[in-house]
Amino acid sequence: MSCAERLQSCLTTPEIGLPVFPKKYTGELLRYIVWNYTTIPDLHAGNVANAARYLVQVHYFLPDKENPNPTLEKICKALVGARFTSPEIVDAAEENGQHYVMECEGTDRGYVYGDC
Amino acid sequence: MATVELEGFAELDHMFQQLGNVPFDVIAEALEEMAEPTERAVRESGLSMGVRDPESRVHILDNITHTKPKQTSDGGTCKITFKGSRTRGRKKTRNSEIAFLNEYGKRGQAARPFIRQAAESSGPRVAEAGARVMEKWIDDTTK
Repeated sequence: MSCAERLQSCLTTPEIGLPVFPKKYTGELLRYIVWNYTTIPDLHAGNVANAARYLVQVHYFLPDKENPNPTLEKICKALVGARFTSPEIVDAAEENGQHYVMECEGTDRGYVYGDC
Repeated sequence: MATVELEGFAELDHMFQQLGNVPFDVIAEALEEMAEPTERAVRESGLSMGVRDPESRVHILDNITHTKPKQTSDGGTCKITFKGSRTRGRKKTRNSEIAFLNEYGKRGQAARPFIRQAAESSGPRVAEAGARVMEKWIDDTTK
């Protein structure tokens, strides 16, 4: 399962109960989750990278004056359950609502890049 | 019977003891050396991810700088920052705020985590730059 599939499936659960989008969402919803990641090749041997390291961001958007903590906790648990590291949480509050960014890492040892 | 010999232990022990006595001017020099590849990595990463402020004539990636090294209880720190600001109408926005918005995104704007990627990918280069200064100091003091 790719990193994208792992993220989408672990965050799309009835417990979290929010729509989940990759990269960005431009619709009218007030509460939603967006994820993105970058890939860094790792475990170099024999001229190839034998693993990928994923730098993951999961964004939780919600309106002002709502308690974000129960959902933040559920998202963190879902990420750890899907073999991502325990996320750091950054408060990236905006003028028109709350925005929390959970940053964590994932790996994929079966991944093999070409010559590098 | 096999014999195992260990040589150079006294020198290694001496080196570790010396590392606890590194003067701050050496730490500051190491931090300055480490800042340069870090700034370069942030700039390269930002360029590759398309980080820019379309409303400004000055590119925020041309305004990356570092603070003067500062002594702390466990060594020293040197911060990589974005200097300057842009003014639109009467509103002034700091370049560091624009960098933050690029790093984490906002509603309707995808994140471009260029600082985190730069920190991750430049680690070995940055450590090497600091190590060169420390090694020179160790060589000079053990002569």
